[in-house]
Amino acid sequence: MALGPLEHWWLRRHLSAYADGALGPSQQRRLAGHLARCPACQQELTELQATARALARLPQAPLPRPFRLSAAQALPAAPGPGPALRLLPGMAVACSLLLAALLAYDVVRPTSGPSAPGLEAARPAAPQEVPAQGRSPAIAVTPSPAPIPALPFRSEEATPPSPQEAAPPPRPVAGGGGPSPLRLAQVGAAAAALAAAGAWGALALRARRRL
Amino acid sequence: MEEEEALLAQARSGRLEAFNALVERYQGLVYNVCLRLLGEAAAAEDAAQEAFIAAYRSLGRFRGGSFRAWLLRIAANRCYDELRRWRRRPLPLEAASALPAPQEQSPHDAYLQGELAQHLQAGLASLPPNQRLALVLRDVQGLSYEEVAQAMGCSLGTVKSRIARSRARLRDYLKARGVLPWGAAAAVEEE
Repeated sequence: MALGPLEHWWLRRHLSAYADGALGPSQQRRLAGHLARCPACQQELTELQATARALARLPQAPLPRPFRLSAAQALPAAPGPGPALRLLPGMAVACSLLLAALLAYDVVRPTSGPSAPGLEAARPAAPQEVPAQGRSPAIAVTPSPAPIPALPFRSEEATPPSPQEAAPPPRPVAGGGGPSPLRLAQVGAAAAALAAAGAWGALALRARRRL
Repeated sequence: MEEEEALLAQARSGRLEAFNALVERYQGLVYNVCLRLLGEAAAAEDAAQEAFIAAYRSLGRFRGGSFRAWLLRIAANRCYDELRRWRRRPLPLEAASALPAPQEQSPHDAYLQGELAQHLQAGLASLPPNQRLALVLRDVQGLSYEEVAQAMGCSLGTVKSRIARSRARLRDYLKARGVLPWGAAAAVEEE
């Protein structure tokens, strides 16, 4: 008796399939046994059967016109995304690999840098030297306390000479710190990979829906 | 079935007349399923025509089994596309009112059937598309559970679940409007 409510709940879910004879023999017998002692399920079964019969009695609508295909309708569809669908996944993978290679190169590059002593010395100085150099005339006209202590600190290691000589070396490095070719290539590869994958997904979805 | 196989083989080899023989065999079924799913005659007409065109062009992808279920699956996908376009637009009741009342009935019976048909169509329209399709294929068109599963591209268990849920929901819908006790009883009496 403890299983009563659970059994009732479980069997009730199968009343429609029972009404259609779509249950296995053992389940069919089990439900028949339950129905013999459950008036609520009997009532529900009657209602479900009545609903199914009412639907079965709905008349079929007459055809508005015949649907025979004309020769024009039977022509093969215009060549759609077929070749593109085949090429796009390869493009997406190739662009992703290129992006991965570029990113890997970007990660590995700083660790291989110290082998070149000149570069190591120039690289950390670059970001700070740019504003210093850009403001050099202003510093000369209105000396402010902030930049002045900074300059001797850096010039101790890198360049003891005068400010006029110290300015030129950071220039090329500072220019490379902006939109470098490597960064541009990474962004380009990422954009191409995303575009190819997105276009492939959209075309594949469209082709699937068309069937 | 053998005749259908022969027609399919001819249609696959490019004989349009053979395919059109299959169209004639199934056009009533396909159109009525589209009509019950979409609830609008013009949209159902377009969906049915597009389904036959798509089926002809995709015959090479038919891997055997029930051709009728395969055709219905294509038609159902067309209807889903259309429903997606409509989004939240409520389904019209045109299908119910456009359907002819069965002949040889007393005026009272015809009234009963007309009103019951409208409630049924409105109840079907209130169901999610997947459940509506399952119920239309099973109860309105009389397909077996196996064929419904093929037409819907899902498992037998899923079909059982969808039919059970949709039938129970439609029953609740009819009961809430006071239709089920007398309307469905009348349907049962005429069996």
